[in-house]
Amino acid sequence: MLVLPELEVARPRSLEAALGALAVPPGEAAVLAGGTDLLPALKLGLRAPRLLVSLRALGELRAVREVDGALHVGAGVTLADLAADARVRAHAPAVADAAGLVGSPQVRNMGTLGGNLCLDTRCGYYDQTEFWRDALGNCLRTTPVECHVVPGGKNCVAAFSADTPPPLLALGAHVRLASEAGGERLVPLRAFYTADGIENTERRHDELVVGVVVPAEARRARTSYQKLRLRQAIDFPLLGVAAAAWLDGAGRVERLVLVVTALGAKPRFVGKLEELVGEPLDARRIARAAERARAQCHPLTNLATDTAWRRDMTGVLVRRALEAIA
Amino acid sequence: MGKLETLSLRVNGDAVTVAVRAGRTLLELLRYDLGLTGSKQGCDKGDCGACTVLVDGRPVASCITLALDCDGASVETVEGLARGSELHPLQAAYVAHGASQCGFCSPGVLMSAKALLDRNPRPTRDAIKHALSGNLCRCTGYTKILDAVEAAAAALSEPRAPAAPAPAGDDADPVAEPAVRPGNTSAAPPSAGLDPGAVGRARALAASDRELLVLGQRRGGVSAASHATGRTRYTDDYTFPGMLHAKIVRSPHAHARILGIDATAALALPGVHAVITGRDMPVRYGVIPWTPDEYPLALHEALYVGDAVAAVAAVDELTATRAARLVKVDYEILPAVLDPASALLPDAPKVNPAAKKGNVTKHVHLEFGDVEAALAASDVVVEGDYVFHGSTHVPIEPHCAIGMVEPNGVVTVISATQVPHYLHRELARVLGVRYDRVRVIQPPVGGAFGGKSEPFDLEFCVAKLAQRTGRPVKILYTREEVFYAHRGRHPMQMHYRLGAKKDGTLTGCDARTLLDGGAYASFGLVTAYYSGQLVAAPVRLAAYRFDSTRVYTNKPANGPKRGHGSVQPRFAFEVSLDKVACELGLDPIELRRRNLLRAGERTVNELRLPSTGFAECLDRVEAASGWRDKWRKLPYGRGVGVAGSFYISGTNYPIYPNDMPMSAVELRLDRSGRATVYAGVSEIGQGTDSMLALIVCEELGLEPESVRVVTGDTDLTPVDLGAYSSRVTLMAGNACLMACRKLGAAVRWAVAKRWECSPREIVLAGGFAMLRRDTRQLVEVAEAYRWAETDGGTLTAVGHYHAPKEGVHGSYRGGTIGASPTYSFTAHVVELAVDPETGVVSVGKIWVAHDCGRALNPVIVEGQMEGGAYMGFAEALFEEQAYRDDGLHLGPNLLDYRIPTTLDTPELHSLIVESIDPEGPYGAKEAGEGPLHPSIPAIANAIHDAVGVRLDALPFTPERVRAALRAHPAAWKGVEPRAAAGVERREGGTQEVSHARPA
Repeated sequence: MLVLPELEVARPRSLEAALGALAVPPGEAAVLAGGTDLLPALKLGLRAPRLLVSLRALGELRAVREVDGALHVGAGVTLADLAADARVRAHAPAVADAAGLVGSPQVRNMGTLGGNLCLDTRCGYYDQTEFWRDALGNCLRTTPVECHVVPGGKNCVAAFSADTPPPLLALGAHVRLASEAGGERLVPLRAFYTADGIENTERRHDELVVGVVVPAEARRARTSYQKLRLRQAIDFPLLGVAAAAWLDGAGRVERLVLVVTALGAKPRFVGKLEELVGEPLDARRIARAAERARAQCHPLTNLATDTAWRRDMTGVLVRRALEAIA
Repeated sequence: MGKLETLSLRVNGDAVTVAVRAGRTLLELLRYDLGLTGSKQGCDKGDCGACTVLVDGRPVASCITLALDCDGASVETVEGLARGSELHPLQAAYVAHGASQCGFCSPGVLMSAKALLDRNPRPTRDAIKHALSGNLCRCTGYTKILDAVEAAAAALSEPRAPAAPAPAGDDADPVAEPAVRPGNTSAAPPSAGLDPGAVGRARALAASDRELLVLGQRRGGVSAASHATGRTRYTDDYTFPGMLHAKIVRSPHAHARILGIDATAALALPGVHAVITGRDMPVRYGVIPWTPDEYPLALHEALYVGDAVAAVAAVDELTATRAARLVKVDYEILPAVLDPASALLPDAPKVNPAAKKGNVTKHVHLEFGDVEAALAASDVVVEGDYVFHGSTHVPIEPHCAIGMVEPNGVVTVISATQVPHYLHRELARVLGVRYDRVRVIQPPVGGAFGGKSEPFDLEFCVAKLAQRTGRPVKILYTREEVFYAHRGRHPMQMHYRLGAKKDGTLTGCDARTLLDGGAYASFGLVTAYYSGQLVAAPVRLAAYRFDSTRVYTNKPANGPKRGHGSVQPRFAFEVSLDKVACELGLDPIELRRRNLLRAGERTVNELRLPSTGFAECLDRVEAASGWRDKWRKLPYGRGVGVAGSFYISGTNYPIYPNDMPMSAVELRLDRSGRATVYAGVSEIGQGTDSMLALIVCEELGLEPESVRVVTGDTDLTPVDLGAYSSRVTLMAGNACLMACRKLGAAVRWAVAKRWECSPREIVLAGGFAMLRRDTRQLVEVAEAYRWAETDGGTLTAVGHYHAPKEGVHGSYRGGTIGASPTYSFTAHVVELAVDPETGVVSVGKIWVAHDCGRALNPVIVEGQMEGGAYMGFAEALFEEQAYRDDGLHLGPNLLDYRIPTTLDTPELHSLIVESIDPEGPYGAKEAGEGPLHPSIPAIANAIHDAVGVRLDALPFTPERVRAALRAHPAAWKGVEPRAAAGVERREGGTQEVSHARPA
C-alpha cells in the first residue's frame, strides 16, 4: 500500500484563518479541498508540503448566488453539487455537464470547483510513483533533465486535465482569489492559466481560490462541453472541447468561442473564428470551425494515446460541440 | 512517528474519538485503528472504489480522504448496513443474485448503491450504472450486481416483498403429522416439535422427480452473506500483536548486475528491524520443477524493472517505505533484451542466467498428419499474421502475505495465493526447512485469475523476515507492485495458415508462434504447449502442425491468465475461420457446424473428448442473438460476430510428477447434524466452497447452513494442487462425492436398520431422512447421523481423485500437456457498433453459451460465464500490459491500465448448455476459463461485419480501428459497407474479394 508521508494539518474554522495558515513561505503549505488530486500526489511523492490547510470547515465557500445577473459559485462547492445545481444548469449548463463528467461519483462527491480549477497538470512521465520516476531518470519537473515529451524541451508541457475550466473559459468567467496580504482580487480565468506545466496558474502560493463569477451574458450563450476519454467514467480527458456561441435572433453568430484542453499546460482558444461572425452555424461553417481547431491544435505524447488520433478527434469533438448548440 | 491529533466522528452511528497521525487516511483509520476491515484497499489512490464509504451520506474514496478531515462527520461503512442480524435489502439481493464472486469489491459497491437508493429509491438500470461507475469489479462483468441493485430497489419500494427468491418447496401441500418411529438411541432428544414448514419442504423435495434435489437450483454462494456484510477476512484483514510491515526494494533497471547492497542507512533508521537480500535465500525456485530460474530476491542480477533485490521490515509501513529508499544498491547496468525477436538473435545478451539454451524457455514443434499436403489440396487457404498484446489479471485485492514463526518453530505464511500446496513446497525448499515445519494458510482471495498461482517474492520475504525478527511480518503490495509481479497473458506473434475444401471441410492448419515470456519461466513450459495444443477443438482438423517458441525478455514474467496459453491462438484461429467462411461464402456458424467434433472422438492431437455440447452452444447463441437477421444485414457501422472455443477441466498430470491423489476431501458428520468438509482447494471467488457444500447437501440431506467448509490450510486440509487450470469442480468435486457416498451409505444403513427396510429406500433431503415410498416416515438427519455414529463410530470419510491416464491423450512427447479428463465448450455472438469517425468500438451485447457439463449452481456458472466474457472483452478493447522501450511499464496503476467500468461493459447474456459429462461430478465440467476465449475473436469478427475491415492485431483501440478504416478508403468514406469491402451480397452467402489489414 502507498502511505502518506509525515505532515501537519491545519483545520481553520474561517476563511481568514485559512488565509493566515497559507501565509507561509512557498512550498511549505498546500491547500486541501476535496483531496482527490492532492492526496494521490502526496502518496506518489509529487509534492512534499509540510502543512495541509484543510478547507473542510469553510461552509462560506459552498454558496451559489446570483448577483446582478452574474452567477457566483463558491470554490468549495463539490463537483457533484455543481453538476446538479439548478442555477448553474440554467446559467451555464455546459459547466454543470463538465462537472458531471469528472472522474467517478466518489471523486465528484469529494472534489470541489476550486480544486478542479487548480487541478495539477498531468503527464504520463510524471504522474507515477517515486520508484517509477527514478527508474525513468525523472523529468524536468523534478530534476534538470530533458523533457520526455518534447526532446530538448525546457518547458513542462504536462496536459491541462480539468473539465470545468474549458466551459468557464468559453463563457468569460472570472476567478476570485484571496490572500491575507493582498485581500481579494478578481482575475479573468483566461489570464489565470499559464503555459508552464509546473505551475500553470497565476495563483500565488499564499492565495486561495474562493470562487468563480460567471458573467450575466453567459446566460444568453449556447454551450457544450465534449470530453474525449476511453472509459465512460474515472478517466481524465484525452481532449476537452468547450464551445460557447452567442447567436442573434436569426441564428447568426454574434460571437463564437472554442476552447480546447488536454493539449499542453494551458487551455487553447481556437483562433480565426471571427470569420464566422454574422454567419449561420450550418454544417459547412461547423466543418470550417472544426478544421480550424484541428489545424491549430497539436496533441502531445504527454498522454499515452496516439497523437495523430487525438488531433483528428479535436476536429470531431469541435464539430460535435457545435452541432449540439447550433 | 509524528505527533498525534484527535478527532471525533460517528462511525455507523457510534461516537468515536481517536488519536491519529495527521497523515492517516480514513481507510487506514477504519481498517487498522477501528478494526472495520470491510472497506478494502485496492489501488492506493482513489481509482478503484474498493474503499468506498459514506461520509455524511455521500460515497467517497476513503483511501484518499484524510481521517482528520472527517472530524465531526458521520461515516457509514458496510459493517453498518445490516440491521442487527437482518441483512439490508441490498445485501439480501446481493446474496440471492450471486452479485459477489470474490467479494472484495462488494463492500464498496454496496455503499455506492446504498447512497443511490437513499436518494433515488427507484433508479433506472442506467442510473445504477452511473452510480456504480466508480467501483471496479473484476469478477462479475457487473451483470449480477446491477440485477441485485434493481431487485433491492424493488424490495425497498415494496417492503413486504422479499428480496430473495422463495426457497424451493414453499408451496408444497400441507402434510399430515409425521409418523416418527423412535430409534433405539437414548441419547437422541425427542423428535417432537419438528418445524412443519421444514418437514413440508423436505417431503416435497423427496417427492420431486428431479434427478438432483439441491444441485442445479439457483442460489447464492455460501460465502455471499459474508461478502455482503464485509465479514469475509482476506489476508490484509489480519493483524497480529507486534506485527512488522515490510517493503521490497526493486530494481530500477531492466537488466543489471548487483555489485553490492549497503543497508547501513536503512538499518539506522529508528523502527527498522531487519533488511534481507538475495544472499539470505540463495535458492532458485520455480513453479514448474524443470525450470527453477528465479530467486526470492535477486542474487546476482536483476532481470526487469521491478525485480526484487532486498526487503526491509519495520514497525510500520511508512518507516519501511522510507527505509527501503535508504537501501543503496550498486548496479552495473547490463544490456537488456526487450522484444522477443531480438531475444533470438545469435548475439543477444543472455536474459536469464538459468536458461539452458540461449534465451529460449521452451521450443515445441509437433505435427499431426501431413499439413503441407493438406493445405496443397485445399480449395482455399487463408494466411495471416496475428498479434496478441499482453494483458494482466488486475485482481482488486493486491497480493498480500503475512509470515510468522509459531512457538513450536513452524513457519506459517498466510497468503493470498491460489496454490497453497505449491507455495508450501517452495517455501520449505527455499527456507531450507522440512515440509512438516511449514504451514500455508490461504484466506479467501480477493480475485486472482491466474495472477496468484505461483510463489512470489513477498511470500518468501515475510517468512524469512519473520524468522529473522521473531515477529509476524506483513507485506501488502502496492498496486504498482501487482503490475510488476504480473504473470499475465503472454504477448504472442502468430502466423496461421488454415485450409478448407469448397464445402467448408477444414483440411489443415499450420501455426507458428513466438511467445514473449518476460524474465522468468513461470508456467512457460506449459504455455508453449498450450499455445498449440488447445486449438484442436471444437472443430475438426485433418492435419495440424504447430511450432511455438517461448523466449525470455527483460520484462515482468508472463504466465497464466484465465484461459492460460490458449486465448491468444484462439484469437488467430477463430479469425482465420471467419476469413475462410468469407472466402467460401459460408455463414461462419454453418462453417463450424460442418466441422464439428463429436463426443467420444479424439482431436487431431489425440485429446479424447468425453462430451461436447458445442453444437448446442452454436444453436443457442444463434437463436438468442437473432443471428440470421443480423449477420451481413445490419447497417454500416453495426455488426455481429461469432467464435467458439474449448478448454480443459483440469490437467491430467500434476506439476511435479507423482502418483498421489490430485485432490482429496475429508468429510466429518457430527451428531449435531452438521457436516464439515476439509479440502485443500482455494476459494478465489470462483465458488469452490459453495460447490463442496452443495455436493454435501445433495448427498447427505443437509441445508447449506449446516455445512462448514474448511479450505486452504495445509495443516488442516488434505492436499489439493490448487485453483488453476479449471480443475477444482471436476477433481475436488469428485473427491467430495466419493467421501459423501461413503458416509451416505453409513447413514442410510443405520436408518434402514431401524426402519426395517432397504438402505436404497432412504432419501436424505432437506434436513431429513425419509422413507421414499412414504415420506411421512421421517426423522431429522441429525438423528439419522446419531444412529449411524452409534452403529459405526465417528463418521468420517475420505474421498480423493486421480485423473484418468490411459487412453485420454497421445503417447507422443508432450502429449500429456493439454490433456484433461474432459473439456468445456463455448460459443459467443457479439453485437457491436463501430464509430467510423472516432474508431470507437461499442460492444452492446455478448451472448455466451457454455457447455459446463452440468450446472451445479446455475447462478455461479452464469457468474463465471459473464465474468469471463467481460475479461475477454476488456482485453480486446481496453487493456494492455505495455512497456517503454527501456523496459519500464507504461503505467502501472488503475488510471493508465483501464479496466472497464459499469458504463463500458456490454449486456452479457449467459446461456447454459449441459452435456452431462461422464468424467465430472454429476456430469459437471469447468466454467471458469472457457467462457473467456471467444470474446476476443468474436469482437474482431463483428468489427469486420460492421465496417468491412480486419483487425489482426490487438487491442482494438480507437486509433487502431480508425487507422484500419483509413487504410481502407472505401470504408473510410462511409459508403455502403458491403460494396466498400468488395463483397457482393447474394442469396445464400457472400463473397469477399479483399481483406483490409490494419495500417
